[in-house]
Amino acid sequence: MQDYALRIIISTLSMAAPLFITGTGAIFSERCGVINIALEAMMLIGAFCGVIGAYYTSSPWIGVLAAIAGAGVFSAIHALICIKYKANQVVSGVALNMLASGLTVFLVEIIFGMRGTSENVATIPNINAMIGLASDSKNTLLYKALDFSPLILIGVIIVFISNAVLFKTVFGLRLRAVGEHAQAADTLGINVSKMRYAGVIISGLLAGLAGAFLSLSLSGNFRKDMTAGRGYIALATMIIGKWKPLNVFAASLFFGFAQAAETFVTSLVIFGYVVPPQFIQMLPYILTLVILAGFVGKALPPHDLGKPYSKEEKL
Amino acid sequence: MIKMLNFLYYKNVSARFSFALKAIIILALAAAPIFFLCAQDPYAYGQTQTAGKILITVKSKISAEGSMHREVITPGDAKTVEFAKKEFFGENLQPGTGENALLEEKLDNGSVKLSKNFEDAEECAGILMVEKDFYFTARQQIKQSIPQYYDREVMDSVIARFEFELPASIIKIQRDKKNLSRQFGSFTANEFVLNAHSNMDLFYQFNNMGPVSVIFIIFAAIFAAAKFSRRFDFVLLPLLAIAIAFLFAAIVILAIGESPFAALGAIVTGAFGSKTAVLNLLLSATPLIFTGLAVAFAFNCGLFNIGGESQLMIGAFAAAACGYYINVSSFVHVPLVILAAVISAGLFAAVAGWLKTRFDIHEVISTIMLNYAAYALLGYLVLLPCFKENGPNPQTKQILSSAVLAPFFHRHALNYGLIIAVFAALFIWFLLYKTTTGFNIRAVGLNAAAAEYSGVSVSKMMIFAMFVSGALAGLGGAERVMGVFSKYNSTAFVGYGFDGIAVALLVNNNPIGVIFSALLFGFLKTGGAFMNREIGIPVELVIIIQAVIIFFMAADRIVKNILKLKD
Repeated sequence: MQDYALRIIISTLSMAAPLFITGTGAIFSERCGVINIALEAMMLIGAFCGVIGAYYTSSPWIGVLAAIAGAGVFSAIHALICIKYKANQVVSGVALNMLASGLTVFLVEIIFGMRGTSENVATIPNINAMIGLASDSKNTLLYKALDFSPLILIGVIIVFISNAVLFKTVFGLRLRAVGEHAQAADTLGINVSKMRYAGVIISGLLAGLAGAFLSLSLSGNFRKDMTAGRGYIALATMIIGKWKPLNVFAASLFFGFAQAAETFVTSLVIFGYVVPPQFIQMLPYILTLVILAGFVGKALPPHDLGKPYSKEEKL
Repeated sequence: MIKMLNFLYYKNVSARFSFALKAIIILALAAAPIFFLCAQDPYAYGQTQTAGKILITVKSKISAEGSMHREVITPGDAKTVEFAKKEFFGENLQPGTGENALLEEKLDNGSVKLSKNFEDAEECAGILMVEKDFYFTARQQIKQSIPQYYDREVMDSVIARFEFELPASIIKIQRDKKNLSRQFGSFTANEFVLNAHSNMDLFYQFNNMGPVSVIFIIFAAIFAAAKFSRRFDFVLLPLLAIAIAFLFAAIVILAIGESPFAALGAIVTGAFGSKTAVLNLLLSATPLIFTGLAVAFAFNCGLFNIGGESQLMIGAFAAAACGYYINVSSFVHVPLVILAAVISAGLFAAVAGWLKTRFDIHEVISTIMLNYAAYALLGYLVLLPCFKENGPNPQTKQILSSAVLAPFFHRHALNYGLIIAVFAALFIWFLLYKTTTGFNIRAVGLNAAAAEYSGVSVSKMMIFAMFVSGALAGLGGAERVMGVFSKYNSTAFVGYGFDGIAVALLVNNNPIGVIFSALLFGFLKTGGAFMNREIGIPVELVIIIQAVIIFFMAADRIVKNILKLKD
């Protein structure tokens, strides 16, 4: 029973990690006023760069750095055209999502000569292996309790740090001010563009980390569209979490649990009626809508979200 | 350079003319490096390949029980024999024993005859399926199986002739299944090889003028679309976005060591090289017109409908269900099935509109959530015993013949759905620009608050716009089911909805423009698949081109900055 509970917890955390890491990143982007629908693309680029980095250096940790850097550069494109060129942020996101899904598969085929799947690369060892727990202690509780990726731990730490940064530092205050009322912030001498660049690129870096988690911890290779909509779900967790890291963490755990439950709960029987597994799959999405429909109170986005800011123009 | 051209803009020459002229000059400047770089590549000019052809003849006799006897005659050099063994007798072939052993025999003229019996019906079927594709994927297979053969001259010269003797029963099965015959335009492998030959010849012909034709066709399409618009953005911006996208693609192709000239040539040949190719282009453009219209219509009301994907699938499933379960004459059945698809998909999309107006949930979020919910729901429905049909993927039973949309030509799936699509575009244009409802919808899209104060019911308009948007996507699903796939299948309907977003954005959500934009994307899709088979460049290149087009449509200020235009 203890084993079972542990497995569910770890599995929930594994499913939730890409969501809360990306979701936390998305908060930085949206709090500073830039809609980031390209999270999916940034995760995908991260997953891809991670595999490439690990493939050429045979070190998964360099892969993680490559993932973060790659997604960071990719997010800088989004930042550039949304902030400097004042493009429609949703449309730019859609284009980047498309670009990432095409570009990664294209490059995988060129580099590995295989259709849609890369070669297997070295993966990040789980914590129990990292701290040197011998495999003969396989049945001990400690071994089982630490049988998860260090990236999950890093992710959880990032959530708490982000919360502190956003709500307890000057940088966080300025970031939020820029997203709430860019003109007012500008009048007070805050560099609106700089803050927005920072916000979008932070979201890219974190999405890259989440992508690295997918490719270097969960699967060990890159597969076509391996993010499977997690970027969009992360966006949803951010909205359910009302743009606050800790709430996003909770919402991600909910989604993670629903996904983990899919693998553990094969048949759910309610009042003698067997609920088909597809209905369990559907549940988190329907629940999201129900939650958004007002059961957790009104979710108010930052006031200047999606509005490009320009000193000369009145927007 | 560009600055020097600005005199056109300020002098008496009309602004419109100067825009067009600038566009042409910039496009020419963009195209120049491609031409220059291509000039370095002798193959790019489509020089005739003088290397001798290696002819491999494959004769397969298939009995009605499914066993197969195969004879392969190949030139006697070791490389080619090795190639033939791998290709025509399976890569992981277990050396059979007795009657099933692989026999090798040297013939008098120096060639080698290989023969083998295949007993296992499943194995035979697998081999046949692979070989249908062989001609097109030959290059890639050679690249992977014997790298020393990956030399352009050798690759271009390997020719395999297939001869199949099929019992009547097997041919009939294929005809019923429709998919193979439709794809290749023939029922037997013999004919298929003939088709492939003619395609190859054309490919080299077009190779020469490929990029020229590409640019010409794009110009024609965009200018045609421009006639229906009153805005300059509509002419200049898509034009430049497309030019930049193609330039970007050319750089990518160069970077991987292929010739962009040949790649663009292959794309044009794949989409215009033969009658079948043009029909394929129209066939792949048809659903994009529907999904593009769906996105465009919602956009005109200020709503970004990302749910086209699931709305199309819901429509497709409704069409498949009604097509199978209702048994009436064709005159009643076809409209009935279309109506079922339209209403189910429309109502499903209207949910997102209702959530927006009643609970203020952003439609981007709600349509994404509804997408995933719909995938799961359809995954459940398609496995219900009353719909399910056995097959490799979950699929429904085949629709009755009375629900089939009549094809234009024998042996090709292009059907009257295309006419419906064009009329739908005209209808949407009329609805948006010539009726009061359309005016109100556009008013809501431009400024919802102002519309509300002037007495328009914003929530009604939004729900209505989402309904029509979903209905259009559902119509697209119905066309695919009634004209092409004859059933709902869990994998066949993926991607149309998301492509629709690109289609609509390219033409600023103008319904008439959507037709041309869908044709452009259909052209890229059809040509891209051909380019993939011919040159081995991954077909995702086309997705990259599409993405870059949209990217620069969104980042219009980059383009305007280049042109030094004021907003």
